[in-house]
Amino acid sequence: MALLKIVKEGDPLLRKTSRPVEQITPRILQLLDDMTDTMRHANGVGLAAVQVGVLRRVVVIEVEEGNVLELINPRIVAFSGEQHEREGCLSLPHKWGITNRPRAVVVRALNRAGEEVEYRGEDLLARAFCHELDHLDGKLFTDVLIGDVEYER
Amino acid sequence: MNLRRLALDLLARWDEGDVYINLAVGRACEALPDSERRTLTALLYGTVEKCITLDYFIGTLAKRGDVDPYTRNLLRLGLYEVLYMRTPAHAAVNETVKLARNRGEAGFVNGILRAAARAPQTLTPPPREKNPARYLSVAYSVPLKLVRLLVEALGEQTEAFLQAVTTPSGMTLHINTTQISREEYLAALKDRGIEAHLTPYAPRGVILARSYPPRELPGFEEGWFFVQDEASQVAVSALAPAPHTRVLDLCACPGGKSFGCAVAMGDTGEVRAFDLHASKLSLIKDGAARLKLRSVTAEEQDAAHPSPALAGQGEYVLCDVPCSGLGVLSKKADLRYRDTEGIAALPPLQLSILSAGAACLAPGGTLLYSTCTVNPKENEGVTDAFLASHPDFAYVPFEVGSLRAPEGRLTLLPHIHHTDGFYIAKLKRRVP
Repeated sequence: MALLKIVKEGDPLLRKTSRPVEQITPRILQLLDDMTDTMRHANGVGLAAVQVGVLRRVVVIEVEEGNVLELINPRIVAFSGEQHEREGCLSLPHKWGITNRPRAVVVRALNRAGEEVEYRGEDLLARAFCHELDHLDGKLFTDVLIGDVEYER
Repeated sequence: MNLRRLALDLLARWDEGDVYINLAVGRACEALPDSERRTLTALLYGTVEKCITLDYFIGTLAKRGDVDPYTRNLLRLGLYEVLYMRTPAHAAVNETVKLARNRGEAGFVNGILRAAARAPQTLTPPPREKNPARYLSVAYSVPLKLVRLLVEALGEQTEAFLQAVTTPSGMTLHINTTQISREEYLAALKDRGIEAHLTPYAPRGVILARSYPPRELPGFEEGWFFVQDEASQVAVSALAPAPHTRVLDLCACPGGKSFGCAVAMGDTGEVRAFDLHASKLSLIKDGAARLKLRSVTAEEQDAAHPSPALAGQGEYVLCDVPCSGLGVLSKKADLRYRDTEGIAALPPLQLSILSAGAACLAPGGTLLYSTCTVNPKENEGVTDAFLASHPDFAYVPFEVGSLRAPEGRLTLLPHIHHTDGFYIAKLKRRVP
């Protein structure tokens, strides 16, 4: 198990666009494993590679304990509805806010075997998909707030 | 008034399901001088606690089935005195027999009590080999249904647990370190010749070798301490509220965890103590006043349905929910006789309180769930169900002294940790 350092707000990396993965090398597989360890250790629901300083389109998400979704080059192919819930971010500790997100999204990506997979997510999983995929394009949850930033005391 | 007759009246009313024994004893004690108060309390609580054991012995000694309720209660009290109290046996027997005369049962009662006094060592529980559950039930005076529940939860450890949880322990204090350090308080105890040592896990606890009325201990009026088992102190330390924050204690009475949080924060933040019963809030207010903890306030709130105004208000929310109390059997004499159907009804209430607690949590806040039971349905059962319906929450690891809870859950056991039986789970919202 390897824990990676989580990039925090203020680091210009968080605003950069991540590049697609062209080939699923052992390094990418190692990255997926380390990202899962890091996400779990930080009590996170999800993590994008840019958050550990790697500008690649790689995401891990664990909403249901033990069921880690590993997404390579993910994209949202459909979305519907709306939800306004409180969100935070491992890269923006002590900041929270209500975001505007779709209620449900469908995501397509490659899994670690290079196969095309499709996931449908509602509620928290839909928020996590949107949140992590935004990271890949340099967007943060504070960009989609419908109210003010709430600061943790 | 004859104390044994008073005890008999109260026991009869408890036996008929009329009263909670602690309320009845409390009321009766108001009119009594201290020494008689102690005797009555010891006799009645003891008899109620040991009731199943006593009834079994009465059964073996009586050799007849038709014992009327009056005589049975008299035999329970008499036998308890003979077997477990320091009263000289002849006095206990004679005085008890006197109360049997008006029923024409003097000879019968006399025979049984004398036999018990003559050869107490012959009174033993039924053999364990034949029926382990029945043996445990009689040996530790715990209803069979409860024994089965405990065996399901604790397996091989059940007897060690029962042994520990039915043995009255000393007395544990939480030192109010806003007024005095733990070391200074220990020295004050030593000056008074009171034997004590530090709690092994909790950072502000002191364990006394035996129990005292709190008022007789040093610094009661000064607010130097409050009585609290180490398990509850560990719960406060697991929550670990930071200074200048707000704690919501949803089921606060009698207030110990609220006081503990206020002390942990150096009385800098805000502790809002809630309870369903407005009549009990004075316990919290008086306690906070004695302890000089200005940060504690008490209000009436239904923990399962708190005011919507509390949504998002607590950096720390404490849900010390009503529970079966299997971890504190020695502290409440008649708790063990509560019906098990009542226990089965608890988890839904506990879950609704925990869910309400989550709604009261400020962004990034910490939620703590605790019970004084070892029933997994009320412990992991509730917190796991909570997580299933709140996927954005997760257990978070914690440590208190040498106690480690890497999975965010901790069960304290009296036969292992020498604390109350207790469950603590720490939860936080996860972020994407």
